[in-house]
Amino acid sequence: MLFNSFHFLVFFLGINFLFFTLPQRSRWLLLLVASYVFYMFWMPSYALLLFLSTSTVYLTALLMAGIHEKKKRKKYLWISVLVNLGLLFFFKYFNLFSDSVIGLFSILGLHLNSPTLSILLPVGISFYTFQALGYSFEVYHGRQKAEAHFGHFALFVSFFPQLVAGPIERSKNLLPQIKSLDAQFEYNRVSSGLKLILWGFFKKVVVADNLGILVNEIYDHPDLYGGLSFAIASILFGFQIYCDFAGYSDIAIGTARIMGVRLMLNFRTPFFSTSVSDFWKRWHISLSTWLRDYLFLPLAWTFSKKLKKDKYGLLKSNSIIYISAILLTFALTGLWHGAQWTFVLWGLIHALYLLLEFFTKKHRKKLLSFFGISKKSYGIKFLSILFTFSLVSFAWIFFRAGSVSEAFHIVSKIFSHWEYNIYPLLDKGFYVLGGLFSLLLLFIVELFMKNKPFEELFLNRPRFIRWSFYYLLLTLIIFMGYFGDVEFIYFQF
Amino acid sequence: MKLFFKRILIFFGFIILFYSSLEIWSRKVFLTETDLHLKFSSLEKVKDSIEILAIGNSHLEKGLNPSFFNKKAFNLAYSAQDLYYDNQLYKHYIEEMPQLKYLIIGVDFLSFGYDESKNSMYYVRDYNKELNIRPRNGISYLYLLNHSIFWINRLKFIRYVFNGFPAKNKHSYSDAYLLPDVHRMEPVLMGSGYRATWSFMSESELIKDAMITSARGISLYNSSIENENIRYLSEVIGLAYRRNIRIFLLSAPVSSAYKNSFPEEMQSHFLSLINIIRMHYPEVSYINAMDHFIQRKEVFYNSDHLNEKGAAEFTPFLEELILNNQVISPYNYAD
Repeated sequence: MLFNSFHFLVFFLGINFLFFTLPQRSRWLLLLVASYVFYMFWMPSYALLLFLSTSTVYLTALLMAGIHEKKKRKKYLWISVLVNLGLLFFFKYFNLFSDSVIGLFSILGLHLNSPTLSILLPVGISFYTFQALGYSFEVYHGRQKAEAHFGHFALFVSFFPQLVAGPIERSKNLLPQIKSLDAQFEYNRVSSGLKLILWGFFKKVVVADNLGILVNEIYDHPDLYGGLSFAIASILFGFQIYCDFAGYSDIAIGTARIMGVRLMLNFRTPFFSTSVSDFWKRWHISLSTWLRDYLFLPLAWTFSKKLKKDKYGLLKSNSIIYISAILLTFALTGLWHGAQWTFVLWGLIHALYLLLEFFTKKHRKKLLSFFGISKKSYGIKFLSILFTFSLVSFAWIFFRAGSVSEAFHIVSKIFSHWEYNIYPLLDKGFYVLGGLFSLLLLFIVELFMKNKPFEELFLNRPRFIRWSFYYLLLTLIIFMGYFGDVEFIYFQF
Repeated sequence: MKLFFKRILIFFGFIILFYSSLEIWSRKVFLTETDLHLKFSSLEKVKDSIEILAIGNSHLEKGLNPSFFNKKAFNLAYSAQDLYYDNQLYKHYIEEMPQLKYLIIGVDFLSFGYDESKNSMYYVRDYNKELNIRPRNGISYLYLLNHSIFWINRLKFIRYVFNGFPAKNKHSYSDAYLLPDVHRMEPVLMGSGYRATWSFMSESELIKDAMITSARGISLYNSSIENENIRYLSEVIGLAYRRNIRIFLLSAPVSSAYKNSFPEEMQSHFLSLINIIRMHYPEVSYINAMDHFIQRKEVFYNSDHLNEKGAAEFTPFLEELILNNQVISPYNYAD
């Protein structure tokens, strides 16, 4: 069920009515059934995978909880990891793996036949397996008590607002809230949830879907358009994917908030980042912090144990550890997004940016002090934002292109064929203009938001201003919203 | 909770009032009926005597003029009409057409992957309003919004406001239908269900149009609904076969620029799907007339639709093929 479908509106109203009518003790059951119904709307049989992931993690956690010695807990952690990553591998990466092996052997002159699975990717599998695995790691490290109530735990994994596209929640934050579910109908909370949903809808159906028409048109016809078109499309794709995904997150957070559940923030105005490392603190926060805690830091720790000397050749051990951990983490971050080498390249480009940022830090500082320029000056901030934005936009080419060769073809076009061709876009003028105008509005709002959440933007303003803004959003949704059946981009991940 | 609902009521009250006024105003300025309604009411008058029925999308609607058939015929094809609506229309009318002997179903490269409800065709609502045919994928926001005359005409409305609310002489489709004018640039629906178009394009316009139209069509093609669409088509074939109605799948003439702008794999995939259908239903004939007017741009209204001249030439030719059972090849009648 899509958040932007009419079915969801009916579902949302029904669930909220029942939620506030039912006594607190039965609410978890209502939400658990609702979450599975929500998931089964897409493909009923795949609910079994969700159940398999849930029950494996639940049982292994209980088994781990009964063992005091950390080393002995490891085998249960492995079972949990293998089952979840096994599901992910089979449904998401099998074809990539098989094609890559065949490709590798064909380079060596050996021609193999390998099966190709023609199965649909279970929606949200990367999100719920990661959420469940995060819980397993926490229990293994003894930072989280194993949950004994299967219903509560199953709801933690399948909670419908964030089930298919995040935020990837941490057990420490979500599980206690799932266990209590004692929210009363409170004016301020419900209205702030609704405002967030409205903002999310605006981002999705007005900005993302309208920009998507232009971006898809250009990216789907690499031979029809010139370099300038691709440069513009790549910049707009950044905004499209941001509004699509952040729009989903806003609707998810708003929906959960109405029922008294506070989900974690997933985006914090990422296009105002002053560096690539800053970008990753603001973009898909729930995934980047998950990867930092459960992949980057453990990898860095493992590497540090392996390296005995302080220096290897010209490189210090610390540098080797950082380089290896960053490269691996970002290659896997890319792979998490999809079973294509384009995503891996996208991840590696970001890793490269981060490494350059890390190793030039001292030199940049020296350079600024040499010219007597403060790092905090508006000019430097503005240039940093512009530079970071350009780097991130360049990387989006690899994320959006259909294949690695297509991505390089587009890059070469951007740097060599600078012509612009608009006539195939003329019949889409309304959507394109709508998307660009709304993007301007989004930019102004985010500029005012800075680090404040959206729902607090107009908190102390007169009602006339607040309501005018909400009416403007509603009018833009009605006038310019794209109501064709468009899925959220992150569903495919 | 009381305060919340009170404020919600006031908040939405204003917006409902505002949009209701716009809706009432729009209904005075813009057309409220569609010509799909006219098509159905024209068919009502002649359905008892129809011997040849055509269903499909605009390629057939503009390509087949029933007045050039010697037998009584009706063109029930309509712009962007997909196989679901073809199926539903056939099932709706079959009992009321005792004389029906020939059924022509329009198919093209996009037919098997096309779902009209995903496109923004506002007149989809009329299948439900007029014939009680339920929407293909249930109720959606788009389907609901398509009931609003203001929403459908929102762009025209902005233009209307910017032009200072000029007095509008609201013409109805019925007027246009009664008085077809050969100098008109816009297509006009005739009483036989045929949509007449008189203009044609230059070579360069045709090529541009082919690129835009095919690109849009390809972007809307969804291969995951091919089986569903084949099921709808098969059901029609099965029902028609039981009544001894001869069935013809027809790919109407298109310009070579349009045909060539589809990737070869897509073209051969389409023909393979047609072959699968014909293997299951050998009694079905396939007429591939896509190349019928190759190199003749004056018979095309645009890259993928015939104009009145083209339809006038093509229809008698088609009747000859159908009545004399000359369809001999699954790929092309000319083979």
